[in-house]
Amino acid sequence: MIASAVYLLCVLTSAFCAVLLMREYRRTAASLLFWSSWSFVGWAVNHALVFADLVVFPSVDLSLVRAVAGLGAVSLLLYGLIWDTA
Amino acid sequence: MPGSVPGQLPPELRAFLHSCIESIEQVELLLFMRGSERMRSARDVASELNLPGGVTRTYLETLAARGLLEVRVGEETTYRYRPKSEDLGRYCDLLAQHYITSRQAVLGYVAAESRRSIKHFADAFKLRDPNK
Amino acid sequence: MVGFIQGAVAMGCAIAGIFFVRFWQQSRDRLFLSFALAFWMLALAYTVLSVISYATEWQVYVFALRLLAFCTILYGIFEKNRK
Repeated sequence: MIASAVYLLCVLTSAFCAVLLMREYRRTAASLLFWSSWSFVGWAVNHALVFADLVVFPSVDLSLVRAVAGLGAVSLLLYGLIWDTA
Repeated sequence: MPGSVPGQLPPELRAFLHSCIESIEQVELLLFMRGSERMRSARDVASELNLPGGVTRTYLETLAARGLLEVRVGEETTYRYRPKSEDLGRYCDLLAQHYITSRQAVLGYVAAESRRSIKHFADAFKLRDPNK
Repeated sequence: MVGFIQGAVAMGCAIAGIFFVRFWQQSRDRLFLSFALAFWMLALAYTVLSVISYATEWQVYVFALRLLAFCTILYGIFEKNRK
């Protein structure tokens, strides 16, 4: 119960960050914001999958999909950080 | 590399530049305004500094929004250097001082492309006006 | 396979944290410090997941770290807008 609430909060926070970053990207066209906003979309997907694994599909193992989503999220962020700020 | 230049500037000046200054022209405009008590219109400032009128007006409005300039709305909107707080005044004095003693460091910090990206990232999380 | 990916995510989060610390050092904007701490907490959470074979995301010590990480981000955003 608490775990599902935590991951729901993580989904909402990640989505919130993604929206803020995309809003600023629309204003400034800074590519770091593009990559980091999609990274937070990835984190939102990752946390949504954890929630889904715990609550919605408890009999299905989504661990690989979750892990890949997390890897995608952090990879997008690192790409933006390395190319746009080095 | 951006990492080496910031080391020459004190942390509070870097913080001030990060939050209030976006370009070299804004530095020059701010220091120009600081040099006089006179109220000036955007047109006057643009011709003194040889900048486009629209850009000058945007910079003046931005600096005013950040509490660095006083605005007087009349027949023509005029501006004067008047920091809203002692701290802002102190940071401007620090900027003026370092602009003389370590101009390359100031310009290098302001102009660094990476700094702009970082600033945009931080500004994204300002929920109200990103210009403030 | 999953453990390997979780380890990679942990490393990625740790590196992202280092970038954010560098941004904080350059700009003195505490928002970046919040992001750095948050990503290091995520790195720790993923390290636990990959190292401890029976650890899963719905165990207290794992989701507590995630909760702390995202609360740190929210606090950083709150503090930035309070100024």
